[in-house]
Amino acid sequence: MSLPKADRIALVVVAVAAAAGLGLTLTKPYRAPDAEPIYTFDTPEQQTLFELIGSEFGAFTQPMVDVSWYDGPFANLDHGRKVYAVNCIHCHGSDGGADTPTAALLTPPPRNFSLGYTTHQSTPVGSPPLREDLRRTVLEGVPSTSMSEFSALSEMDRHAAVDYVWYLMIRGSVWQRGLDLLDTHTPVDAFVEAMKIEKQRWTDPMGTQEGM
Amino acid sequence: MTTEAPYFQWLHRLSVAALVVTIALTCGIGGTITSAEVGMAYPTWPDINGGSLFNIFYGKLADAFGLGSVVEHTHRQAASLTGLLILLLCLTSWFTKQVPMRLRVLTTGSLFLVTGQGLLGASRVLDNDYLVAILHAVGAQLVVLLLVVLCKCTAPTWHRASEPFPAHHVARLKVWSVVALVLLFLNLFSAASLRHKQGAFEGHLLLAITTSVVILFLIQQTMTKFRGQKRMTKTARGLAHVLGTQLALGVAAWAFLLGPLMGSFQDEGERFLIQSILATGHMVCGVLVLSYVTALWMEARHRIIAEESR
Repeated sequence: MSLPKADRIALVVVAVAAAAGLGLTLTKPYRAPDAEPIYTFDTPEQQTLFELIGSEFGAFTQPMVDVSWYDGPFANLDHGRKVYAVNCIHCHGSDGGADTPTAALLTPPPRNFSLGYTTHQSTPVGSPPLREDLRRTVLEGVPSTSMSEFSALSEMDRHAAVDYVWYLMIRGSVWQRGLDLLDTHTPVDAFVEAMKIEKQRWTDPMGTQEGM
Repeated sequence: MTTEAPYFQWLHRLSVAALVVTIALTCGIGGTITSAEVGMAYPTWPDINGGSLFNIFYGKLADAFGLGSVVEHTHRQAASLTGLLILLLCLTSWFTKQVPMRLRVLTTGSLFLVTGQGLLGASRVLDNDYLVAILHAVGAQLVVLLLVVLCKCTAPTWHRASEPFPAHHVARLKVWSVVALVLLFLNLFSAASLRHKQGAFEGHLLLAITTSVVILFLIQQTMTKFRGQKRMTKTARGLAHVLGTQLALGVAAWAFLLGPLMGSFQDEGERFLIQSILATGHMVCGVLVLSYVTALWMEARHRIIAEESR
């Protein structure tokens, strides 16, 4: 039996709405979270240092970094943040500190990027890794850990994510270094000194220019 | 009929058990895994830390790979239980005399589907591909749909004659329940994309509104045109309750995950807990909406078949 005319019209409207909904689903695949990580500071000096770092590196949701920090051409950080938000953020955290509830459920814990080094790198222990090291880890994963391979990601997405991780590592290193210096320096001096030391480390991860 | 009743009763019991396990355990824990992002806590399959799928070594597993791997392991175990119950259901249907062929086909189809779903789960872990994760989520709902169908048509009251109703009311209900099912699956695909890829919120919103309007129409039609049919009005009332809960959870999930309350948390732990509860609750409630709509579709279809055979 045939449906009433009103039902047939309603069916067409529903079909159009469904097609539009499906179209929006397929054409808007990424939406990085807009929330900044929640930070609590032990002292006002720490907050000042954090704000100084923010003036240099931007907010986590609006990252920026000077090209002089990079060991080569860098990709679109904004795209990297989106790929990171989908694939990495739950374990490694929005600031790369791996201090997330999901991380607390995993053994061994995910890498804390703010330390500024990894365990799978071609550079000396404790030195910053090369971006190539990070790309390899993302592509192949780390056996016997929750860090699985991300070979299903496109090469462009992998490179962008690695660049954002690189950004988090640099920013985290400056923050950690600055925190160490706060015991003996004012926040401004700690920031300036931390920037100087870390820039030397990150632009020369093999330590070839040390002592020059 | 009387000699068939005990056998059908067993089919019904197994169907209900499989449905409950699938929704409460397999989908519930599966949703929790996605909310907590611990699906890759132990990225191998089927073995876990040298143990099989059926090992109960939660403490040892938690020590070696963290609590996340325990959640993942229990999901695999719940899914295995679903598979085992469906296997029993299938065997019972084939080894029981006088079970209609269509029921045997349904149970066999369910077995193939749940096996495919298990393999998709394996691929999700081994390949770490979000598209596979989305298909895995959709596949789970297909299993639920088939189990609801089995629960309905093996129920002892299923073949009781119903009052004849105007054919156009029944046909209308059947058409719109099929539309609601199609919309629910599209919505599910969109929701899974949103959960796994942090995207497609606009698509999910549009599909959710469209689906809700169609389901509200279904409820209104059932309550007004089938007033004397206790089984149907009961299903419609249940659908109204789960739809209301689902909409409330959807609004709350949006507010806390993407909307104005996103920044209202004291710390990351609180944010994680609230967001996980809302997202998982929204997902499980969605499965219940699908189950009720499937039940209504079955009722309409059953009446059409009964009318044609009169």
